[in-house]
Amino acid sequence: MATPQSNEQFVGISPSENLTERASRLTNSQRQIYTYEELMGGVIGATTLETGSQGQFAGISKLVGSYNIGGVEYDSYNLKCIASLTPEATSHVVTIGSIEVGAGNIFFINNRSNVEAVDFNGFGGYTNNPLTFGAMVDDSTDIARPLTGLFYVNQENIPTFPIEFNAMYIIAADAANFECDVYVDMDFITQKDTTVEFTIA
Amino acid sequence: MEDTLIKVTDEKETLLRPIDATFKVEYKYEGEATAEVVLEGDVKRGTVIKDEFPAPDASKDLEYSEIVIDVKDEPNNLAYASKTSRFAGRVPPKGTPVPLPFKGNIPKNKEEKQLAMAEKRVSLLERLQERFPPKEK
Repeated sequence: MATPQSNEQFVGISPSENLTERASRLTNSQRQIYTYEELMGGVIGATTLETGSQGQFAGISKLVGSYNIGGVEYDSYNLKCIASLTPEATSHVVTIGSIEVGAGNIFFINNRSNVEAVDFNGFGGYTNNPLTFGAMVDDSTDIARPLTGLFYVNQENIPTFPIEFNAMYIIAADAANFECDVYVDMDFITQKDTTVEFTIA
Repeated sequence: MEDTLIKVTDEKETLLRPIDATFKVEYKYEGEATAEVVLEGDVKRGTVIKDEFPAPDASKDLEYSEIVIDVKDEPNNLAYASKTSRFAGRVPPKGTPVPLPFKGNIPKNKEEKQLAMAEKRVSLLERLQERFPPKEK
């Protein structure tokens, strides 16, 4: 199939033309229209990652998809963070930042986070695994090995703050020293139309 | 069938899942001096799940029923105050939210949020290091 040269060509309508869909009374002015790029990317607008105090980069962006779960409507968002768990140690805690919502709980519904380690003196190159215990990590030998301790993203409330304040951390620990790079990529849902604010740590 | 009888929330009706609290359900009958505790226990993950509220004594007139949420005063508990919700002449409706008043600190600026997150990070790291002691490099 030929690659579409523009969104208009792909969709087959002119943006100035207010079409009525067959068997529907809705016109375009009553619809949410997404570009081809938005539909394929899923994200509304660019994801901007700010720099944090631990050298991490993090940010959130609103996603196109919304959910209706048992009659309750939710908006969806994406959280991204890039962090180096260095220098090597048995325990690492990186504060990503906080997600503060106007009202309601947040629920993480998807996790595509990745862990990258160096394996130059092992099988060569870099290892990439989902963020969980068992992911490959490295140390000063430049040989990757599986982590057998803890590896997860923590959503935590600060006891003195309202429940709508969610602090996010990367937690990793093992019996021996290790280091690696982490790419957090997680989707969460929250009450429809509530405010969502991210504060970098 | 078991169902959610009580939801412990904040005043925006956000469920307080991590709250450490107990609950009591009391029925007060006309002409009696004190209310009678008909159900009590721990709030688990912000909810109380049971079959039904106990049926009131049909031979007496129910003046009111009350749900008492007692938040444990512990340093790591969420900063919400205990509360009693009263229902005149009836048993509480199933799934009733009990909105607890917030008694903590609403962060005023970015720095205050960052400081709180940093303190929590130190606490998390210390607890991890107890289980995974630091090693020489």
